[in-house]
Amino acid sequence: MEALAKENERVCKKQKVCAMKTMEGVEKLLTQCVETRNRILALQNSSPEEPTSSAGVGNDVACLRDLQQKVREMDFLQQVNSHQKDLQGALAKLKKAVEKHFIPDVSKALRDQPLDKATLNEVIVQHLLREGRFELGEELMREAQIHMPEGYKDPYVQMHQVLEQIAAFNLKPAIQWTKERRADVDTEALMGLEFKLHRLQFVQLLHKEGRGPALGYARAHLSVFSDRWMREIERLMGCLLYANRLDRSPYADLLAPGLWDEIRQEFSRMCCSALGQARESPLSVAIRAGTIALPMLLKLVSVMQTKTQPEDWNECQQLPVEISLGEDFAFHSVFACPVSRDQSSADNPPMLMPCGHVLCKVSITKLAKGGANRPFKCPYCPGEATVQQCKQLYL
Amino acid sequence: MSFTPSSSIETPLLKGPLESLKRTVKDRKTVLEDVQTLASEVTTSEICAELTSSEHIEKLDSVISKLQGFKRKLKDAASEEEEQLQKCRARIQHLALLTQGPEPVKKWRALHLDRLLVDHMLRCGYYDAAKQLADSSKIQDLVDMGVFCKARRVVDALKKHDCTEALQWCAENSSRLNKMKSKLEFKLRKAEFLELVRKRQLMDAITYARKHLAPWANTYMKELQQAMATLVFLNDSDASPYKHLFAETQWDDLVDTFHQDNHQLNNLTLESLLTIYLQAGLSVLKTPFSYQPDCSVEDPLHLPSYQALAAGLPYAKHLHSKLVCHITKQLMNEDDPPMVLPNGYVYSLKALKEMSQKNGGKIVCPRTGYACEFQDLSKAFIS
Repeated sequence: MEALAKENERVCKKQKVCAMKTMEGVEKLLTQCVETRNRILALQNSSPEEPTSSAGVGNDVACLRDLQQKVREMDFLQQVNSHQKDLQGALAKLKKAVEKHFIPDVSKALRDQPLDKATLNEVIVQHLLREGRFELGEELMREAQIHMPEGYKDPYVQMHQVLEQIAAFNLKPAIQWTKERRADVDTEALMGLEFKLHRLQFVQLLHKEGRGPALGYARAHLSVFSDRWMREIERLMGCLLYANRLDRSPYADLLAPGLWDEIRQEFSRMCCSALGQARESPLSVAIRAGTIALPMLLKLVSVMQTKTQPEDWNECQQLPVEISLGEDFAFHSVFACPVSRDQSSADNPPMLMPCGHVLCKVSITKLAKGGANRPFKCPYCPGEATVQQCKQLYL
Repeated sequence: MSFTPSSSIETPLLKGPLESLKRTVKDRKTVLEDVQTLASEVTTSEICAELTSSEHIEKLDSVISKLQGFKRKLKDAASEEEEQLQKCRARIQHLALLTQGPEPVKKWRALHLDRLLVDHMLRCGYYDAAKQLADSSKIQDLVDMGVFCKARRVVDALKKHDCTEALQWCAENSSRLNKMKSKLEFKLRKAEFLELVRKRQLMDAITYARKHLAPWANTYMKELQQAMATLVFLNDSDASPYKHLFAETQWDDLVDTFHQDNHQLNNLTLESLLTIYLQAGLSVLKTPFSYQPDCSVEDPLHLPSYQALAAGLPYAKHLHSKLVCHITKQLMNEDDPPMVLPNGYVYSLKALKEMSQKNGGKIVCPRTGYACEFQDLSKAFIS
């Protein structure tokens, strides 16, 4: 990318030079013509009684010959051509650099199947609301004529009100929210978030108001966390020693501004989780997956098209290659039968054999060759089993 | 600093301004050549001694005004070039984020999604929302609003059955449209001809056809003949085999053709970028598990709207099993293997150990409530 930026800057420089020089060239020509014109005009004015006198005309002709000579000397195209060629050359190099690294047609992997506009717009509105861009969401709903049910944005509005408060360094609404949730759902993650909020609040109080208020706050709020977060509480008590010089203490990391961004993110994820929604906007997740998958899909399509019997990209029910997205995208288990390499589904669940190996139901049925009580051998160990002995697994 | 795969598919981002830049530079060359022609004329023209001073002055004035015209054109070209180069610079900087570390990559992702949304909104005609989003995310240089705003006038006019704007656009871009073998102008002329027929202005229609449809006779003979036949059948005869030519859908088809040509002209993809990425993303996330009721909420495909969008797309291929524990939400592996309860439910060893320690050796399946002892668990070997 650096190389590309450099080429771009080169083109910029050449363009500036070229623009300047060409403008200069045209200006020169213009000046000459205007000068000649004014001279002829001046001559005309100085001898109006003899418009066709040979002297008057001779002067005109002399002026014009002069002009011709000057223009010939200027040799306009010669001057500016080199700059123009330079510019075009630099531009061609930039284009080549781009063509080398970028895939020419990114829409090759598209299937002949448009996404339903109305659903897509709804999905976009949901995403915008979740991100707190309420005005934009409203605008889009207006232009695209989307109707959402009553109270659709209330939970998000509440969430973003709290987030705005956190951005303004006021943690009270967030702490209130976690306390209320604790009554319903007492999970470790929730407690963790609440503790972090209290910790930030403690450090803030210590920094702004001093030891007394901070200690009072700790006494009031931190005791409930003592069994799991004792080590952290000890650290916070240590901070009391460095009340006025926390930034030069071993606990300086508790002052990092990044902690506030982190807490905002964690709060919004927890909030969405509490609403029964994904921790990250589904649209972001889908697009991220697409960004990873698309280069491989494009390669795949070009390979498929060069095969002797080109398969129709539009017809395949399953992607022909495995595209690994990484751990971030492991939302749920995936079971691929080691024998058939098919994915398990409701109709074809994974089955546990007594020896501990797992195959999909279809493979086991095939191995047993129709006899529910006929023992068959496990492909991976000497163990034998019957279909009846196999247990369906729920992953 | 190398190119990442994610940046290799950002071709449309750079291609647009680069191609425009190339054209502007070429235009400048034409202007320079015109100036040179003028200069040669001046140097080689015979100076007629019989002309009066005023006539000489007149001639010079015409040269001067032409030069001033060229000067303006050069100025316009220079400012166009600067604009395009600024766009290139901003876009390259944007792509550079991908190589600068995890935080810049997160920023790139957010901007990337906003860009895709703006592109989608512009293509659907939601211009105000698009502008608002572009301004609030400060991505004006990264999106092609100018192209779509220019197109807006044409599309609005076409929707009102008015072809004037569109024909003007064709005239402005005629050389490149001819290179592309675009059918747009012919379709527009045909539409105007049919309008005249519909209004029963038959003589006008014939004159129009002679002037504007005849030149296309060689290329689109059959369609021309069909259009001419409507003179006989007119538009309200149910028996007319050409009734479909007067349908409302013809105008929609015109708008589509315009969009296709406009996008091709400006090096934009024919389909919206959002569609391209979303189709790929949905497909690679689609698994049969996503459609089951106890699917994790983190999977976008558990939502009905995403399932609807993904209908008809191929499933992702998985050759290897990946097991995620329902309790810890983490991947199971050799260090943390899957354990099976007597009722067939599977959880990670780590989660079950912890549960058993907290409950005195007892295990309760979180999904079914089934209770058993830690000793009742058996190991599963899943590769």
